[in-house]
Amino acid sequence: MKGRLRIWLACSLWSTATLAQSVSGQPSINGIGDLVAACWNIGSLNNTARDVKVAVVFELDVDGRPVSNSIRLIAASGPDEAAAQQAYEAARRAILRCGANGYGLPAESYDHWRQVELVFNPEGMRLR
Amino acid sequence: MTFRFRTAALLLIAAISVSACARGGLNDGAGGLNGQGGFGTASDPTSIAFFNQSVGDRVLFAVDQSTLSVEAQSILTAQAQWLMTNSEYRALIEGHADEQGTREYNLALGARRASAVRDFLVSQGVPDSRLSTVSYGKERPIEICSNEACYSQNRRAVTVLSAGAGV
Amino acid sequence: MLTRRSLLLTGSALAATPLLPARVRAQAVPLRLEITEGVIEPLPFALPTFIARNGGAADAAADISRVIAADLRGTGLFRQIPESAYISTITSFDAPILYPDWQAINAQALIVGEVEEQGGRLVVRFRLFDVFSQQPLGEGLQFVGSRDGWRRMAHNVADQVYERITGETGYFDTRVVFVHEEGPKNARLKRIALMDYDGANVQFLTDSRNLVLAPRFSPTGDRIIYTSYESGQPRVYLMDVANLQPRPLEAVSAGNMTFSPRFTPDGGSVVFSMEQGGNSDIYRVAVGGGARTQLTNAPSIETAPSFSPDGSRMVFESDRTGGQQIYVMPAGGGEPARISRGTGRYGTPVWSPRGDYIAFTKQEAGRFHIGVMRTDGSEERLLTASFLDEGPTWAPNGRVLMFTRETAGTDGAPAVYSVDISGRNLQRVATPGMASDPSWSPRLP
Repeated sequence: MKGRLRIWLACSLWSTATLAQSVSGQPSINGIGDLVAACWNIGSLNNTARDVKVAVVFELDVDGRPVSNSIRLIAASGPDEAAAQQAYEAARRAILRCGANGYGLPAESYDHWRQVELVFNPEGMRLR
Repeated sequence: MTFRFRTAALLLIAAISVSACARGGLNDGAGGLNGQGGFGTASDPTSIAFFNQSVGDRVLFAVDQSTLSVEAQSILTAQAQWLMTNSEYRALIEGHADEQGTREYNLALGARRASAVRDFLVSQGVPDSRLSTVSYGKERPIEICSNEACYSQNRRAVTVLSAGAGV
Repeated sequence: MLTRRSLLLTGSALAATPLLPARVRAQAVPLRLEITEGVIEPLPFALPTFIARNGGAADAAADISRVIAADLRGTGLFRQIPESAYISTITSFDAPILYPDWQAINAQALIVGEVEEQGGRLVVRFRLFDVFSQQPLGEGLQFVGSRDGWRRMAHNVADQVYERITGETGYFDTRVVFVHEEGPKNARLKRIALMDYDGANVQFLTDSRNLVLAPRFSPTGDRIIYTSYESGQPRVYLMDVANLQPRPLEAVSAGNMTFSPRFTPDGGSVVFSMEQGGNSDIYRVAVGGGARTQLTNAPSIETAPSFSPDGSRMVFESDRTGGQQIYVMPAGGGEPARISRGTGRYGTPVWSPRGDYIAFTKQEAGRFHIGVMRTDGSEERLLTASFLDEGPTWAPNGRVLMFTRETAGTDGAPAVYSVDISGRNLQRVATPGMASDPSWSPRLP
């Protein structure tokens, strides 16, 4: 909690930090995580929603753009439904905003990335 | 913090009182200073002016303390003697604090200081019925700078006289 | 109200157990990535000046738009994109939103509205859009009110926007009772005054004849309780905001000072300090009168009581161990437990309306701080530091505090400031002149 201000001030340093970590081990795909991370802004969320980890699944079209109406929340930590909704909406904004021009993925491997699950985990953003 | 005027004689305290009263005395509260008996002149030993200037109308306290220093006790002993000689006066004891504290705590602290003075005067023989107390907390500083020179003057209990002991 | 799609929640299990794979068609397993570093910055919003449906609404449309934007900016959570950057023009409240135009200027939220005058009353309608999701965020809403009430309607719109985006209850349609101060430092005149949370619509509730201190709102916002020297002694008075007639809380014997009052959460009682023979303890009495119950009994100073929102516990300050410290005890009385553990002195504890934190004043090494801690004293966090900060009061959503900050020296003067509970967004509240002792109202009915 004490570190929020520092995060706030240091947010421009995000690009030097580890942005995403692959769970599935597809190296060409990690770029999605980096791109979405840059747009994942939890600054307008309340403290409760800032602590919620959400998992979101969505589909991409063949040009590597997220399909807006395919985005779904599949899991959220914590019992607070309103907080989960805010956290989910921040995640959805991140996917759409930074995917607007496509994630630059190789079309030949479309079958590997047409569906993506992103876990937005804010734990590390709470500097202690 | 130890009391600053360890070696100070009654005279020094009295001198401070004079300057302080001249500046801010009328703001000290509802009672007394513009009272019915009038100030009189300091040459009249039964006047309020004599009490304020020669006996000394106030005592000072250390930070957060309401215990009476040796100096304070000697002033209050003189106040008690004066009050017993001049039995037509009532006294309202105002307790004050410096600005370094929260409003509510300072109000309670001022009450403690006023009460300490009242208890001392009663122990010296002044009838309790002639005494009352009020706390102003940090609401009525007499000196307005923000350092110890002013704070030490603001941590005070002032004995404010009014005529009419029987009322 | 906002309609929400129901969510599939796995509860707290998520952190501990792996996520179930989502149902897939083309892939056996969807690609899974974990994102651990995002950004924390104000959310950019666009707010085209609301459309005036008719000539009588033109001024109100501009004023209302300005106040909504100021409310949102003032939280520190939102950043307004200047109108000069807009590509689209909103010509009709019902026209389709050209999302790409708003995406191009990186607006993430778009607030569209209109104002109409109907027989001397104002009708305000608004919609909120999530620009990158290309969909409305909640449903459109309409507020109707008198012309004079335009500020409240603006605050209502801003409250809705804030709630839909942050998930917190808004706090813009609220008022603050405070002490207005005039005159030199050694002869201050003080009056109880009321203002909107943003400093607008100041109204004086008392004149300056009697010294007055620390007003507090009742939980329903219709009453104020405060300390006044009207009788010569500090005494607690009650006042209905509707008629401004003060009455003493209860008859106490001459010479006894009563001070530091606060309502219980049900509004039916008041807790306060009473001094007898130099010693202050905490008492409780029903607003309608009746027996006084003594809650603390110690030869030390016990003051600044505040109840937990469920009414079960009371927090207060005491100097029983020497310096001021914070204690919690059962509301009906019982053994107090000290919760403040750091160095320095702690006073003026106030329980958050959400129950999760206690705000306080801390004094250490010649500086004053406003801070918050959990109700067991853990996670202490200092939010401010200055020559003299004191007396926090909670916004009804429990996420923002106001307090008094006083400057040093012969020209030292008090002002009201606000800060959020992360310590961000410290701001001076725009009061007319010197101001102290703020108390935040609940959300207005």
